[in-house]
Amino acid sequence: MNVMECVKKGLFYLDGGTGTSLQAMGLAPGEFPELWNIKHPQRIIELGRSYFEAGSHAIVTNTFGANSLKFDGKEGRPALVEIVQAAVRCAKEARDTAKGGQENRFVGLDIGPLGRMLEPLGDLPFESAVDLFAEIVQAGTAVGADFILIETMNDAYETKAAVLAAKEHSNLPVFVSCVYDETAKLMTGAQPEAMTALLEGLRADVIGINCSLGPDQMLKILPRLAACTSLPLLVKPNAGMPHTQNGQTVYDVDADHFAAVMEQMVRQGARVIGGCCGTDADFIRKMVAATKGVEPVPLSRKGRSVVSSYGQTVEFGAGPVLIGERINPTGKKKCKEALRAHDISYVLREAIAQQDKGAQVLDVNVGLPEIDEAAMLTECVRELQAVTSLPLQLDTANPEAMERAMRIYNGKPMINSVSGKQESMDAVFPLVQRYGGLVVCLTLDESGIPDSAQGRLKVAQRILEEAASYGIGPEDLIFDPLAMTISSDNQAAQVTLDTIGLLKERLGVRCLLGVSNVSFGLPNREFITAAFFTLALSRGLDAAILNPFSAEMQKAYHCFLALSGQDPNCQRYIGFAQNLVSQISDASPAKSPVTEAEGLQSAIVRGLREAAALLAAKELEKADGLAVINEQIIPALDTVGRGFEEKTVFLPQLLMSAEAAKAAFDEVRKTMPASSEKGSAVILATVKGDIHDIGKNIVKVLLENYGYPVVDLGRDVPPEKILQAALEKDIRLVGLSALMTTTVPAMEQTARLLREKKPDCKVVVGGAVLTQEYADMIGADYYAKNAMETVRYAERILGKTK
Amino acid sequence: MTAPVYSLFPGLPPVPARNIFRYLGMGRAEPDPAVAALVEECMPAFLSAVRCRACYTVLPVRTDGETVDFGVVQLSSASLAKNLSGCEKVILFAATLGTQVDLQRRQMGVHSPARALVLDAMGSAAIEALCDQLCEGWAEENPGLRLRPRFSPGYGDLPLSFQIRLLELLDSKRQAGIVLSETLLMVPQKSVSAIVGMGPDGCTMRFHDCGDCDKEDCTFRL
Repeated sequence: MNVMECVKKGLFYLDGGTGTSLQAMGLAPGEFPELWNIKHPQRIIELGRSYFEAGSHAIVTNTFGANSLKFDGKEGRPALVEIVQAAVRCAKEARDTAKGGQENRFVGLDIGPLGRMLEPLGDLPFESAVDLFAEIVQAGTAVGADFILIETMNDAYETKAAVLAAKEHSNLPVFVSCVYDETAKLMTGAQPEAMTALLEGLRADVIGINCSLGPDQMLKILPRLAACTSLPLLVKPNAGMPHTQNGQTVYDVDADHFAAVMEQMVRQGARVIGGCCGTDADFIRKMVAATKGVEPVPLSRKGRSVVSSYGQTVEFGAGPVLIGERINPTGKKKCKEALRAHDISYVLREAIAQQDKGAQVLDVNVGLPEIDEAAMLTECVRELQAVTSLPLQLDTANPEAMERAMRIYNGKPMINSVSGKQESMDAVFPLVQRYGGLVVCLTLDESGIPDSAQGRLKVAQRILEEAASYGIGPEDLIFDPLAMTISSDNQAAQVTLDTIGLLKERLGVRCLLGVSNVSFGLPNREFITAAFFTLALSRGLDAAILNPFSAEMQKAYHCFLALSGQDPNCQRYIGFAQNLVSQISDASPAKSPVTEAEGLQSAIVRGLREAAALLAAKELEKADGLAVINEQIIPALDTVGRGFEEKTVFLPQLLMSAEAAKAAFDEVRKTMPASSEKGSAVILATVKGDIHDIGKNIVKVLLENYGYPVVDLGRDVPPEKILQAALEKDIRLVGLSALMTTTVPAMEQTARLLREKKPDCKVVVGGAVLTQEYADMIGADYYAKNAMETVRYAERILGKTK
Repeated sequence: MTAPVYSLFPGLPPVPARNIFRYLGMGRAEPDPAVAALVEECMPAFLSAVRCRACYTVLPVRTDGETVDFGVVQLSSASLAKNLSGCEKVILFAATLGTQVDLQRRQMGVHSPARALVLDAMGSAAIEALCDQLCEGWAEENPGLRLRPRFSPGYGDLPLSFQIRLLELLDSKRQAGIVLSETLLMVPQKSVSAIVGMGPDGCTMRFHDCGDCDKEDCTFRL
């Protein structure tokens, strides 16, 4: 019987703690437990044997901290492969020499976290993490482990890297276990529902929870996992919490209590059970005895349609889901310009603004013929998931772009889209099989869009069948019955609505619509679009891709929820409707905190963003844009800037004024043609190895205020990338920031590279650790103590802007 | 003989507004009402993102003029030896506000750099407040002993690279969710690791004196 057969047949017993058991055997603090596979193999074998003899079906290898960051084979340290081979050898020997115990016995390759944090929180790139895990997987698979246990994971993204490595470099079953805290969150915020969505999408075989908590606390989290997963559930608690007694660490839960709670765990859905820190063979023996004859809860398909990010899960079928459509260049001039100019911050602002308007998922489409879509989509996804926890809908017809974005996405994405065309299904379904995803299925095929609801139903059936052949269930498909323009075909909307009804009735599947197409070519389009949206919702539409800024769509949505009984006490409607009224009254300048007499200049000096925007709009009624800039905005900025230099104004006020000025500029820009008189661009970057970027961001805001376009290369930027951008855009000023002495060498390298290859480019440096001496030492052209000094230097080098 | 590492989930003590303004670079200046209002506005969201964790271990210590011996690890650092002279034991600890405050600050940076700056200053003031609270707790648990000022890798002649060994000893990834970047920066960003000596005498220096420090452009300087 193989591992998964054994798991499916009934309860499956794992081992107890390794690290704490080795400490009890004399492992010193700070000593790597993995070294004992080589130094003291007998002790490792003895420990494993004790678990098998206590009744474990499987033990895992002593390789929790084994990776090539730690074991690199240099300076007397063993190489990773030696550690893994020795560990598997010990575990197998334990298996073969144990007396009694289970008939079927297995050895799992144990994989723990790498001890580094992935980008964007830390500095380890996602693919480097995948590679590091792959080395462990290959080493363990080569010497005959029976399954892989990825455990004690406390970050969703790192977990994804590990599971991908396991799936790509072995055919072994993959068990994945995470550490939740008492609020049922991983260290980086993911909850059980989000981890389940991610791991089921990645086709893990067993999922669960271990470490950090004792059995009693885990018992409270278990039902949440049991409610959402269709996979066998693993539970491996600590023996309670550690404390000291006579200078010894002891855990506060004894083997009897542990065993009793584990029996309750089984009744609540646990199937693969063992112990973590502080548990030993006695705990396992008692657990086995206490659960003997207890039938595990039968495995059942939950069929939930979900997408997730690291921090959120969105379920389809539990009330209509709003998907924001704004990140898409089609028909949006500003978005097109931003993408061409590589202005990622535009995309980020659109995301946050849609989130504030109640979007639950964000569609991301960056397809333009003249840009590298795969690179752009990947970059946007990476940046978006660093600033928003909304799940993303990856929207591209380019299979390479889709695969790269799915791979680095931190969660289970929504995929837009597949159609009934064979070519489309051949491209998309293998990706979903590999990375997971909820797929938007367009009900069209090689012969186009069927005219009738029956015809579209047929396409949907075909897609369902094809998906099933990849092991993709109906819960991971959401069908788009396609809204066509009523101005060209009077019956178009009816066919779409009928298709929703038919798909729901015959196939019981989820439906989604991009609603706005229906009103194309008509005046006041939103009236029609919103009414159509309401009709579609009443037929059971599960999600709509729409513009969350549209008041008509928001009204339709909130009214539908209230009228369909999905808004208890009309709470949401009341909040929405009241807020709408107050927004309208807020917009009147009479009620703004600054009276008109005080004027725009004062609003900027005082850092009042909303007031500055309103007053700028007012000014623009009587004066032209340039006058407003030169007579109001610039003098205000000068006042604040001088105040800062004279130390009467402090950094927060300087920034608040900068934000207010920016809001005023945005108003002016609406009235002026895209300016061709912009100043020269400046590159800003936080150097390689440094992930602190708050200072750089401050400098960016101020430079933009003063009219210098900023090419923001972000954090942890290698010297070559900075040089390349400087050459491409013929940049004359580069600003570099570093926080720590350890990253100053990267700054020096960058400055040297620029001096060699782009000698006409000046380098200004700043950051907490920098001093004039450092700046001189590394050959920078200028040391700016603060953001204003950078602006002044830019004025000297590039000239003042108009 | 094994020295256990304890893992804590402490609550965040009140964060003195005074210190937030100092980290905003305002020194002793009276905060402008607009800045005070911004701090007040950002506080609830900040507090809801904080998830404090800490871990510590207690080790014996012996020092001479140049070296420090913790039993499991020896190092040469005259400044640390001076800080710990006369101490019988030391607490090694690491504490953090968690990753959510880092994410929150980045998200805020997209539409309001001023608020991101305020959140950053709050984080710095809060992690220091947390460390103060932890040290007060240890002082109470050890009557008769006085705590020395916290000493972190990178202070004086104690190299920053000691972070690696310090966090390994504390098993900080597992016990508190703190890791190092390749360039030895702590992640999450609002984290502190330090050595605190305990001895029968010596000063308990709770507030450091800016006059003693040669970093003259420090934002926090008074």
